[in-house]
Parts: sequence; C-alpha cells; structure tokens
Amino acid sequence: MTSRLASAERAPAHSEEPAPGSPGSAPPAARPWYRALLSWMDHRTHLLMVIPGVGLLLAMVAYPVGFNVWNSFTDRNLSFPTSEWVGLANYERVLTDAAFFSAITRTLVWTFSSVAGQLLLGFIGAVALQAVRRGQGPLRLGLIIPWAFPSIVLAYSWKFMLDPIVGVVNDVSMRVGLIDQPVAWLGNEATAMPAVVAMNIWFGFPFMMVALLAGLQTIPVEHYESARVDGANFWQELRHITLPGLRHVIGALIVLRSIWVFNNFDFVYLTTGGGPIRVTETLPVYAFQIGWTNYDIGRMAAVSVAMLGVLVIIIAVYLKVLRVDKED
Amino acid sequence: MATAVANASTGPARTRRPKWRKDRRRQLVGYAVLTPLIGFAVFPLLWMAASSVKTPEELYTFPPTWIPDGVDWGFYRRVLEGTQFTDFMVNSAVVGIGSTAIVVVLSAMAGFGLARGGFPGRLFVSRSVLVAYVFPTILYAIPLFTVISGIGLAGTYPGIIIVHVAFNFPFCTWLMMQYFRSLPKEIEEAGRVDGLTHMGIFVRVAIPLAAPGLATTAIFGFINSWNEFLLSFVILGGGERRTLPVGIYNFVGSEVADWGPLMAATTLAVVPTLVLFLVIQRKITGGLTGGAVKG
Repeated sequence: MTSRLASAERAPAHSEEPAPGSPGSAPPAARPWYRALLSWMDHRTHLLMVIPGVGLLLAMVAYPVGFNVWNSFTDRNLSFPTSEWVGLANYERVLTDAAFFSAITRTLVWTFSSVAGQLLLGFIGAVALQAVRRGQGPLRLGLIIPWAFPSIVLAYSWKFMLDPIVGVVNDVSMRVGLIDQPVAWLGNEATAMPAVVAMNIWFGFPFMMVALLAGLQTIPVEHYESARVDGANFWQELRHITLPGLRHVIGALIVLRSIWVFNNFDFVYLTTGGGPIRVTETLPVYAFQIGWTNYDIGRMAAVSVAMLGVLVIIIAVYLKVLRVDKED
Repeated sequence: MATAVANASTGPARTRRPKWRKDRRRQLVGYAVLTPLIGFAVFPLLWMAASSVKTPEELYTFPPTWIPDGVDWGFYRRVLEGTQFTDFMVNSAVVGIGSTAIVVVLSAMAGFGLARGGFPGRLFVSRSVLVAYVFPTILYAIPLFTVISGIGLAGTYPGIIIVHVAFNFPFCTWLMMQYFRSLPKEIEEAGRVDGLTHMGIFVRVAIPLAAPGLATTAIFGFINSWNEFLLSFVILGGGERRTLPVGIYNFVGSEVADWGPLMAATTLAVVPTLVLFLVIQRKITGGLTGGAVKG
C-alpha cells in the first residue's frame, strides 16, 4: 500500500495491465479505442488544463505585443485601412522627437520621486507603528483599503482637493500662509508634476508601510535586546539592525513598485492628461496620445518598443545596484 | 513576501522585555509621527465623501466648510436620476461577474496544472505568466483594440469580458498556484490510488479543498475588473456598454468639472469594494500585498 501511495499510480491502470505471464487475461489490443485516448489524456491532464488560459493570454497579450512590434515597422494608422512597410522610419521619427526624450526624463522623475516618497513615508510609518504596538491590525486593514479602489476615484478625489476654485488644498495653504492667492495646482507648469507625485505617494505609502511592517516583524527581537544591553540608541538600532534586516524586503519593494509606477497610465492621464503643456507627459501617456489621439499606430508601436527597452534597463540597474537576486 | 505578510497578520507579536521608560517615550513619538500620516492617508477620501453630501451652495463656496452643515442627498439624486450612472454600474457588474466567473475557472485549472504537473516547460510557462502580470497594459491596449474590433467585438460585453479575463488571468493563476501548492499532496495521491483520474482529483478533491482560495481569487478578479480603466476605455469608447470608470471619466466633459455629482458618483463607485472588503477582511492584506498589485 505504501509503495502505491508513493508512486500515486492510478489503481485501475494497474489492474488493467495484467502481470506478465498471468494466464487467461485479455490482450491490451482488445481494449476499446477510446480507453487509450482517455488514458493518454489523463496522463497529460496538467498540461491540458494549462492550455486554455495560456492560449487566451497568447491571443490577447502576446499576439498584440508581437503585432505591435510588426506595426512599428509599418505606417499603420487607425484612420486608413491599409499599411505599408516603412522600415525604421518610425524609430527615426521617435528618436528625433524631442518630446520622446523629455517624456523619458519625466517618467524617470515621476518614478524615482514617487517610489522614494512612498518608501520614506512607508518606512517612517512602519517604524512608528512598530513602536506604538497598538491597533496594528485595524490600521493595516484600514489604510490599505484605498489600494483596491478604482484609480479614477483616487485621481478625482485629488483633483477635487486641488481644484483652483473650491479646492481645500488652496484653503489650507492660504491659512498657513504658504500662498497668497489660489493656485491651479494641476494646471500650473511648476506645480503639476509635484502635485501628481504627491498623489502617487499618498496612494502608495500605506502599502509600503504594511509590507515593511511585516518585514520588521521578522527581525528577531533578540537582536534589539542585545543592542540595548550594549547601550545602543534608536538611530544606532535603525542603522545596524532594522535597515540590514529589511534590505531584502526594501529591494523587492523598490523593484516591484518602480515597475508599476513606471507603467502607470491612469493616475497621470486622469488628473492632468499629460498637461499642462506636456509637463506631466510620461512615456505611457506619450504613447497613448500618439496611438489613440493621433491614430498613429505605427509610431506608437515604436514608442512602445523603446519604452520596453527603458523598462528592461531600469530593472537591470535596480537588480545590479540592490543585488536583490543575491543571497547574503 | 506574500507569505511573510500573511504570517505576520496571524502570528502573535512576540513580547519584548519591558524597558518601561524608553518604550514609553518611543510610543509617544510613534503616536506623534503616526497621527499626521494616518490623517494624510484618510483625508482625501473622507473629504470626497463629506463633500458629496453637501448642498450645491455649500460645495461651491470658498473657503470650503470643513464639516457639512447637514446631509443632503441632492447630488446623489442628480447622479442616479439625471445621468446614465446606473447603466454604467450595471455594465460594470455584468463585466465584473462575467469575466470573474470565466477567469476563476481558467486560473484554477492553470494554477492546478502548474502546481501539480510535471510536464516539460512548466517553469517557463509559470515564469511567463508572472512576466505577463507586470507587463505594461499600454503596450498591448491599442493593438488589442484592433484585434478585438477585427473580430467585431469592440464595444460589446463579450469583447470587454474576454479582455478582462486575459487581463486578470496572470494574477489569478498566480494566486491559485500558490494556493494549490499549500494543499497537502497526500490527499490527492490517496484519491489517485482510489482510482480517480487526474481530472477527477481536480474536480472532486482539489477544488473543494481550495474553496477559500477560489473565493479570494474571485474577489480579487472582480475588484480588478471593476477598477480597470485603460482597456475598458479603449475597447468600449463612448458606447452603451461603458463600465463605471469610463462612464465617470466621460462625466468630466471639459475643463470645468461638476464636482458635486462627481464626488457622489466616485463615492458610490467604491461601495462594492468596501462591501467585499468586509466579507474577506483578514485575507485581503496578504493577497493585496502578495502580488504588489497594480498602481
């Protein structure tokens, strides 16, 4: 019995295959033909179960991406039915477009400042919550809820707060003397990007906080105890125990969040639409404007391919700098 | 990371040897730091909800009143009766439920196959699924539109449902794969010995055991579909089948937004998510942080 369990072989399969030389058993060929098919399928059940979903993924994601790469060499446009092979002309146009390079710069600013802000606030919050040691459960749940809300709700709640006419941010800023008269935060070239980044930090820091808190709780309490016996102060504990203990969590968080923030289309598009005068036009928004607003699929595809290149470089740099793939 | 978060929420925190004065001071500093952070985290959405029950006169004054004078449902009435909001909500529910039903079946099958199968290329497939998960939507949204409109499904329920299934499949498969891996193999092996086919084991043994995992996956699938903007915007455009995010986006026609009804609409849009949160309270933190989802 134990040997059967270990091999997990199906019982009837055994009984159908007679022991060699046992007399009076039917030859295998007499089995109905569909039995063989069923048994063949049974042995491949796992593979067959993966096929429908992966097939759909190939059709709905991989094929369009491949189609996109193909398009990047054509002059396909949504307003014309036919398209022609144009070679590298799209890439040439993209690479000579100053807006493309400023979009890359803006995307890097957007990504780095958002992730840095989220991480900083999240870390401060996690350490504070760990020190308070009360209400961790409800706070963890309560603060993370907006993470699951539609991006349009988050974007519009901020757009409303930052409104130049009735916005509450103007009210508070004027009360504390930060500004003299109402400011159109999202409509002003100097403040639009900081405003969108502030919103993204607001969105992301509770998540960082929850993830870092979980990381903090994996650091053995004994480390802190022996540090205290040695007379270490808070900053020394932070520097020599907490940060090294969180290194891997922080590394993973930075990589994952950077990819998401880099890819993020909704927040920028729904708050500023890339404006005013393109100061918040990140790469996804830039690609979307070319492809959807100008129907220029070929050129958008070239932008997408270039964007993928930038993304790969960012991930590679992060992995190199943080060495998250390396064990101690 | 997922398991770390999940475990942390269940495992009791180990008690520290008391060092009262030092701990007390740290606790006070902790409170002083946490209070503004929590305020910052909750204010925008509370402000949205508070503003949605103001009267038009109160909402459009500057400086704004911090606490509404009373509860006025006027904006809600305008949203529900004067706009297509309820249509959008129905569309979102149809798309969310339809795509979730399909994606749960597909991802349970794929998750089981990847967790238990030993076929060649299994590792490659599971890694590709993870790559698909972090792949920027913008890179395939518009080519996907040409594909979907090519088969005549642009602006229809089947079109957007199939797109949302594909959009959700990587994350849901990843969740289900993790869940099936956490189940003891011995029960399935016993079923095998008792003469079940692999399919029989999946349907009769693995699925009942994985019911909590299926429920979690379904809820995340629904929330993701409910929230999704870019693909719905491209596939559905301004048509009759617009989902809620696209519909709300179209409310803002020009530069000047009608904030009252808009805040009522966005407040209503988060109600289903809140309800689902109450249903699965504890599991949600692990699941949400597990995949470091979206954003």
